Amino acid sequence: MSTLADVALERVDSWTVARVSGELDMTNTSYVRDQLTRSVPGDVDGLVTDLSGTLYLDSAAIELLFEMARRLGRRRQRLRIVMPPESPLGRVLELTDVKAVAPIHPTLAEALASG
Amino acid sequence: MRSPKLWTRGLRHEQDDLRETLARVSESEHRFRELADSAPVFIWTANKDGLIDFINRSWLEFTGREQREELGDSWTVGVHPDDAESVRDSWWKAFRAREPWEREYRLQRHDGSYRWIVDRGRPRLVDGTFAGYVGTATDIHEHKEMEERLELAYRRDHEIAATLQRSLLPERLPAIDGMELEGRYLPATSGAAIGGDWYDAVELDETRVAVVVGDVVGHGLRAATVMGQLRNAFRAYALLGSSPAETFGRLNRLLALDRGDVMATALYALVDRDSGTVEYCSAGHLPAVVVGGGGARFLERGRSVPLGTADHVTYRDAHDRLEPGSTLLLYTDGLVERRDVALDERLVRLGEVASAMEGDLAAMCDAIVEDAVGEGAPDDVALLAVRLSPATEHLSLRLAADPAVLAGVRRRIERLLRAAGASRHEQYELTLAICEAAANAIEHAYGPVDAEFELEVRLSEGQLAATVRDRGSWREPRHETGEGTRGRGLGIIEGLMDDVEVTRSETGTTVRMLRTLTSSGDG
Repeated sequence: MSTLADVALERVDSWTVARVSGELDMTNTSYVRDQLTRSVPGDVDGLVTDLSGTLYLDSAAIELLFEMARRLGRRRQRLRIVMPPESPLGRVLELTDVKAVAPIHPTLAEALASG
Repeated sequence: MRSPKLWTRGLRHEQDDLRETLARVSESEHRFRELADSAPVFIWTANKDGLIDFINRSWLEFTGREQREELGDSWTVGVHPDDAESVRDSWWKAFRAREPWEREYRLQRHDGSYRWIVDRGRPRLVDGTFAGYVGTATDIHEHKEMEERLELAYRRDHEIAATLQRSLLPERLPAIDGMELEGRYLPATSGAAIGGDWYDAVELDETRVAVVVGDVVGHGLRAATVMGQLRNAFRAYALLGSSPAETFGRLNRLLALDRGDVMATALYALVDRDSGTVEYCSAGHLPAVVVGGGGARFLERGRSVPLGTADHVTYRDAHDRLEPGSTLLLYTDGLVERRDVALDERLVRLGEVASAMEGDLAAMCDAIVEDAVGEGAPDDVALLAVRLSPATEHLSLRLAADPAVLAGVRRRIERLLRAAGASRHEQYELTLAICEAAANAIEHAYGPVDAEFELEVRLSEGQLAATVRDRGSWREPRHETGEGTRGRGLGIIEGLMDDVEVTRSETGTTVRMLRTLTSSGDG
């Protein structure tokens, strides 16, 4: 359990969708990591991490995104990120160049529709 | 000069009179004693020196002692050792003042057991002259025991209710940033009047805080239990974030659903810490008071019937505003209702007492309670005081080097930035940058368990200056090459701030950050 963040998991088509709501910081990254790593079976294309409901994320969470991309990559699976353009979190993803390891989509629908 | 003969005759005459009087007295005394001995109560007389000179047969049969053993002041021999001194003291005190005397005490019976008796004496006058006391006493043991049992049962009920009541109230009000809170609860001092008063404060989100005070109609254990249920239900509904009126509508339906015979008055104020707006609703409760600027006013709108009066009630919200530094007072009727004083007068008085003590919130609450309750509370008294802290432009914190403090630090920085009109983007970016520096400090302080770091944030003329300093034992960052978490952290700080300066020395690391705010609206 984490009091700051919540991860809601769902299978949509050939993807696992993880909606992360609340705040992610160094106190709960390991909880979120557990949730995410357990949620991706071998038969899906990968993980869509939806950050639309995320209010805060710090460098530990950014590091987690890189780590997830690496893990999935090793299994020939992919990581996609959903982040609305108006989200205040956008600049941090830009600064840390997250898009080099995972494409960032403005909506979940687009993330799932993209080839 | 009188002749001797005449004198002798006069003397004889007087002697005859005396003898006749004595005979009459003896006759009446004899009849008194006969009467007294056959009476079913204890009867005694004391002479003008306060010593017992007669005790009737009932008394002697009770104590199993001889008349002579009871005379003088030896009657107190049979009084229970715990009562003897106070019985003697009170008797001599009354005697000296020639006042009626009454005392309940335990007296030893012939079988050795002690029984409660009530003993009453009154001064008697013979031809207008004090001649001692006459008294009666009755065995009240059964009555007394019953009384004690009732008292005990009653006290136990009171204690249970009081304990329950206390355990259901918040042990400590939450520490809510940007707001001062003080609560007072006094259980009724007299008897089982302990009731279902409660207060609570719940932080709903970054800005809004729910404050409530309520009073379950009725007294004793049941009222206290219902109070506990209502308090929890209130918390649950309040957390849904709906307005006070909607929250009361739900609580009311819950009461109607559960039990038709519970009623409660309550007042719910939803306070926005940033804007100072107060949305409130009163379910048949006394009006909240706003104290500030040397005066007091009552929030008298948004009124409706108590919870539990009807199945479907439409409650209505009213709106007001709380200036920083002014105080919102919520209370229950025990604070202001007195049989001998009109309610309006008491409310005015409450405003006056509070206005006179605006400085310190705790002192204000103490003064209000002291003035209203004084000697004792005839009914339960609950008081909740809420004050908005003036918007701060400066934060100076010394914090434990523990990641758990970060969430609280974020709230405080965000609040400061919001108050300064920073956009949502700026709020997040600046908070993140400062907290990355704080996370660095926490990682550096690896080692001593009680390590601390300092954090300072200052806003002036549209520029934010923040300093994070860790001291004492720390080690070099684990990822000096710029790779990995902390390296990424520093990259984030540099990317988000206009100017960053990191100073490392043997005594610790200091990170200074500057950024000019661009907006003063929502972005």
